[in-house]
Amino acid sequence: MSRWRHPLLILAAALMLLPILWAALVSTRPQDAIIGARLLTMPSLDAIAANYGRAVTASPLFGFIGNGIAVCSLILFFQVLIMVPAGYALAKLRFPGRETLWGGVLLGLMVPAPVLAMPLFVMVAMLGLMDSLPALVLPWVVSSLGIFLMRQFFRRVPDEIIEAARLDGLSELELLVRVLLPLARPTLGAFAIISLVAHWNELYWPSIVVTSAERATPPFGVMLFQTQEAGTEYGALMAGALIIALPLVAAFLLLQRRFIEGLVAMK
Amino acid sequence: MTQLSIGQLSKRFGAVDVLRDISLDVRPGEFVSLLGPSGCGKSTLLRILSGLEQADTGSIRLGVRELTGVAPSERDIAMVFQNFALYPQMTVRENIALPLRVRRLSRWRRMLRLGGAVAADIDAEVAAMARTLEIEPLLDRKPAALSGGQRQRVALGRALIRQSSLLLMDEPLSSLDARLRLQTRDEISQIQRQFGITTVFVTHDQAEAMAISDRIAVMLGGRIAQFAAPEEIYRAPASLAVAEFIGTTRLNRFETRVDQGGFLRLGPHALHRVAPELAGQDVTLAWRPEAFRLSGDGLPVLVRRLESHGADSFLHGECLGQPLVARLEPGPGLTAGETVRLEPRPEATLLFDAAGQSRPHAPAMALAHV
Repeated sequence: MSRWRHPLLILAAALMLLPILWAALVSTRPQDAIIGARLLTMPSLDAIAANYGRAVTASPLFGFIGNGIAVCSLILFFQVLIMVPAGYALAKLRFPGRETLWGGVLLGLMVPAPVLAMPLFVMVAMLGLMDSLPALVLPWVVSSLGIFLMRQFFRRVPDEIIEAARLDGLSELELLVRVLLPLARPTLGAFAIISLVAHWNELYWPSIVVTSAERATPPFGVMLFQTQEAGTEYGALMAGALIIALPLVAAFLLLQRRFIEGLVAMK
Repeated sequence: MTQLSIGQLSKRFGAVDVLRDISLDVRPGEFVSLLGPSGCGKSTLLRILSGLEQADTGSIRLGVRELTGVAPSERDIAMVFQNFALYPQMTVRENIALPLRVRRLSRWRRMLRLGGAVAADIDAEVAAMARTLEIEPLLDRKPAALSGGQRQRVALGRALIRQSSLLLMDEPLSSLDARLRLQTRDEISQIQRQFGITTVFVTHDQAEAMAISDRIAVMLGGRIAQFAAPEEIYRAPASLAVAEFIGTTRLNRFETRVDQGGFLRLGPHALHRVAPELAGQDVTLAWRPEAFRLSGDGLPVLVRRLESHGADSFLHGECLGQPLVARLEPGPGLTAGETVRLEPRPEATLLFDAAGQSRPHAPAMALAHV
């Protein structure tokens, strides 16, 4: 089995990469080559300039990316702010209703996000937040997955460390920030990747609450751009798709070691 | 050096009485062990002393201060945990310095790592502590890079640096391997004397408790069964339960009855006279294996098996239909199958009444035959 492991993994990776490779090929060919399915011709500099130029000028692409960065980093910031103390309390503090709350977290893990879209939409609309940054951020700041991961992580921290800190005179906040958070970095890194990917690529929710290009996040913006402006300009469309994937790739490269450590630690 | 007084402390977990009416006075500078099997409440008592757990009733006084209701960090108590509980992401230096930083620097200066002159003092104290514990070369390492014995010293350093009035240790040797345990045991004892700090040490290992303590509180079933010097606990256990718990080998016990004349009888043998109020009562006689010597007019023992331990040898035999173990000096060769006479030394004879409490008897009177 181990002899075949690497070829199989390479094959799987190639299958995953194929659509991206396809997009890269399309984004570097002129329109007639794309329509004629002659993708294995030499890429032309003219076509690259035309497609990528069109991608960044025809729509406010960098505006979309800016929105995406703002939305994703705000979501992640508040998620961490909530999940760390919540996970700690669920793992290590004794208080009435703890098991019920934990049951709620598990339930939250099982409910698919689209199911909540309707009630969330009603709430956002009633609060008058349609087409705003809070509408994109607020529904996601409490992450069941994040609380779940942090609770599981904190449960593995020996009670004695927490008790030693109490005897040494650290406050609960200092204990959390100075002692426990540094230990949780791999888990936080893994969660950050999961959260960033999910919210960067989110299409469904923005399509419900965003109505203007000024507020559009990258995938939703590209979709707007496809239907309104580009029509069948596949080269430019693929160029735009590749550009909006870049920040995510950068984030992954930055966090990948922690991501892998975190996933290994989750076992 | 500060005195610790525990008065009538009780604690229940649900329906279980974990601690029942515990009273204990620890003298200034004394090293006291809480010794007992797991589940006897010794760790709970230690946690109540530290303030990590609350007692239901009772009082704890450290010096002149009542500690009930005082937060753990305000109790002037330091603790060494079983698994050392060092902060994994901090260096040895930071681990040892933390209790001082918390006490002497405001929260914001700590968070922002501003210290000034106070921080320089702390550094000097940490360096001095490291010198005392001989861990200077390790100061910039993290706990993961230390051996068990080194972690133990760091944990001790972190506890001692605050110069608390009371040091609590929860089985601090149990996570070390056997050889290191002996060495560390001696070091702890030496350091405790050097600092003169009143110490309460929890262990389930009687050899450890015997070797290290000024006095031992034997805890059984949530009570203090006996509180005395190690030698006294061994020589004069207060109850049958303590006698059975202390000692490396099995206790030889014989259920019998005191006759109306006040003589202790064992089968056809009358041993010595005991307190008159025991006349006619059921009692338990007990001897440790080393209580016997070969003698012409002792109890008849059928030799089943002999075991040589070098310096001495163990005789596994049968006396009055019951198994008996005796530790003898290697002497004339005995053989399995023969019957020898073993005389228990009167002063090593333990006598317990029907309730298992130790009863005085007259050790001067020798074994007599009827």
